[in-house]
Amino acid sequence: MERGRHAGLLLKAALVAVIAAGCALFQEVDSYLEGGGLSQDVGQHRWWNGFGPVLSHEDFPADCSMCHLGNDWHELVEDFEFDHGLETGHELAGAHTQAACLRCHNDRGPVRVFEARGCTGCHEDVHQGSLGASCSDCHGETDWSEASMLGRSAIDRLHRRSGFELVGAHALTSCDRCHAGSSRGLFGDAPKSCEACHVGDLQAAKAPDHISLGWVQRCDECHQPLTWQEAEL
Amino acid sequence: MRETRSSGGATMRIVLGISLGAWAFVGLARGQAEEAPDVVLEEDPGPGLERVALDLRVLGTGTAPSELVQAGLAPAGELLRIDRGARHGVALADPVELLPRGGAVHRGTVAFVDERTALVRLFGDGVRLEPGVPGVVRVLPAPSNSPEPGGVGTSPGDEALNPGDADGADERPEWQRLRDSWTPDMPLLARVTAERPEQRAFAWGGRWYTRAGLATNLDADRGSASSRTGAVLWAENPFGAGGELDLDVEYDLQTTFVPSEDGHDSGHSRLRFDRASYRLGGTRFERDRHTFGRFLPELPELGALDGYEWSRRLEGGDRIGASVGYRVQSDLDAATGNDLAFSGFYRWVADERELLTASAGVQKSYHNGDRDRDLLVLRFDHRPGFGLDAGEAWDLHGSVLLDKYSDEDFREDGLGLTRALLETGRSWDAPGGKQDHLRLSYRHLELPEQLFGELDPLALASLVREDEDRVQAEGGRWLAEDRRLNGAVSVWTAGGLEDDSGGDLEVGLELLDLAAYGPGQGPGTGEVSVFTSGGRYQATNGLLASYGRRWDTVGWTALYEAKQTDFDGFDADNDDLLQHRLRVTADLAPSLGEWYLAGHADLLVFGDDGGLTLGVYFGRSF
Repeated sequence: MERGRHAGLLLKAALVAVIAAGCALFQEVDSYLEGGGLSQDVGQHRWWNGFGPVLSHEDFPADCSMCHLGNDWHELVEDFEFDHGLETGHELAGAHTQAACLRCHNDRGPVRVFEARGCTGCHEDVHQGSLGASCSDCHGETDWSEASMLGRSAIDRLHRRSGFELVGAHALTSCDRCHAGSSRGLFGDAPKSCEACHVGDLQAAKAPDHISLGWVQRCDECHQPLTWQEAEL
Repeated sequence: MRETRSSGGATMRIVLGISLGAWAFVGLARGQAEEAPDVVLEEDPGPGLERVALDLRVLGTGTAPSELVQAGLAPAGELLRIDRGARHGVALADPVELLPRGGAVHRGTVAFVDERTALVRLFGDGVRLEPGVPGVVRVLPAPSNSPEPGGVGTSPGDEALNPGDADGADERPEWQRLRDSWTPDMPLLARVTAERPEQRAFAWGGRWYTRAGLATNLDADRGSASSRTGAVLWAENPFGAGGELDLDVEYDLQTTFVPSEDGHDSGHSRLRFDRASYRLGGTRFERDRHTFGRFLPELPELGALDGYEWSRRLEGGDRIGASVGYRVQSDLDAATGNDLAFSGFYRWVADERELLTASAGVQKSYHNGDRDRDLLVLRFDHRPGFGLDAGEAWDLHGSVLLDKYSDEDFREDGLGLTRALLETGRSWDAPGGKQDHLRLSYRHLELPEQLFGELDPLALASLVREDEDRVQAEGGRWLAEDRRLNGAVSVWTAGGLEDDSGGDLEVGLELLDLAAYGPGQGPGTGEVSVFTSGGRYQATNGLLASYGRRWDTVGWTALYEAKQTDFDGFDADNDDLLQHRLRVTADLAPSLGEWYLAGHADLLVFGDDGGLTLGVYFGRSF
């Protein structure tokens, strides 16, 4: 039975992988045949070789003083404004509207490459790859911190989909009681078995003595997660 | 400087009003133009006035507001969006010419105007123009201060680039920079000087935040309180060498209180540095990158390190690198100093656009001098749907963590799959500029056998045998501009001691145009959904409803959730649990990106017990 379940899951996973890889490959081949595929991007090649400013100024007004102040390129005029959406067709949202230009347009890589990498092109993946690439499932653009990004329903959904419905006392427990690295964005290390977190309670359970009786697993066969104080028989 | 016909401060409401009136006024002329597309619709601007040609670019497509369409005041269907709007002087019925490559000229008229963009109806059917296609829109000149032909910054579009310069231009100091030492004997097309990182001005910024939370049972005699205050700082070129300094520090306080007969209150406080690093190089002028301190390596799956990393960008965009340092544990303390790790990685890119990449990394670690973990990381990404040229395409992301075990470990020899993650998804254009989406994912997680952490033997015996597989599909489809159908389904199995399997299903409707109740502007928004989940020992069914309203930067939401959980193996009196949750949240961001305030209150009732949680968050960027 167990083996069958695993086989079924692996089969589904393989199916997902094959479909996705097939779609991706088809697109790549299609793009290649159209001439826009795996070719060198001349503009980026020039960029990496240090030609010109970080951001192309070719379409900018010829009067440098409209934006630059003084006799170097470091300082911008006090009333400098640049409508990113209007001028580039790429509207900035949330905190990005206040970001300094050089945070995205800098010498570490063409901004189009950063964007191609998704959010992690600029924001390091503090989850260390454990949560995948869909940052927008949890994060908004106004503020990056978890307090503003995850509604209660989103937290409940994530737990439901992981097979650990937040019921009773668990629905009131702070994240770091189970996810030790939660304040650092690390959530992947929380086992679902009761004894993994409640091992101290298990060792303290002497009436009856759970360990001597061999009651060290599957606590939820007898207990419900109802109260703060102790599990209820 | 001239003024545009609609000032830059015009609101959307005003523009809509103007649009309604003007549309009715020119409706007849527009109808004639549709019947005779070869006629360039260019009404007589009046004696002494000539239209001004304003350069434009196509942004994409869009549709006019449904209320205008329903009133017959705007055309239905997909229109072309251009990057000029009321603030540039564009008005309804202004003639537009679009000039795609190949020499064709497509003509049309402005059908809807908002402040910064406009929608254009083209004469003729079946014309599809890509974003970026240039063109001109011929606008009426302003009532006074007509533009000087050929003058820099005198067209409406130039003015839009420099709001506010009408008052301040003359006060700026005179431009003094020489033309990069250019002399008449030098070629006119001399190479443009590029600033190097070490030549840039010192700059710094970051944000600080604090959050506090309280959770207590209904009797208020048991619960916990916590606060987290931290700062994230960055500094560009702090020492004149072109490097970057990163600092991420947080101070945590937590206390748990219990009734006195049960034991003692407990608590902790800790100061933790998540990042404290200096990075040098890694630019287009310096292919080698050196990072010192506490940092996350370029291949983040290798985990945070206290040490040093070197990496190099190779020709074509591939990257190679190596690092040495102590692993930072993933617990609250971020403990370090026990696990010395040596790592290396290689990142392959299909081309310099980096839309298709694959990476491999290895890490060998020693725990207090003893051989510990041999980790192999594989990762690939294919993201044709990202970037400014994004189209409708499937993206693909996968990563695998493999641990190598030997005779000395509790497990059999060979590679063990510690974590596998595969995701794919894509989006489709939907009405109103929105997007439908679908995402599929598979995840395998197994806790590796490691020495670090010095786990209790009983806990270790439980942990090392935990593993889980999960397959999930999630999507959303806009049924109309104001409502979206969301759905998710997943199945999972948990092996080892858990030996469980189950799944969940959720279907919900997101509504953006609800009747207005309570404080706020515009319509209410909300969500209703039903869900079910089940495993070997319990099953849960529930529903959720939420409603909220906003002003521009302030919003509130009320949420109610009820779920019934049935437990297997208990007697009839104690085999179910009905849980209610009522939650109210509010957020305030008066200046987007500068500071942010949010709070919530959450009442939970289950069985004869329940609890209350309160939380507040304040953050400020600088």
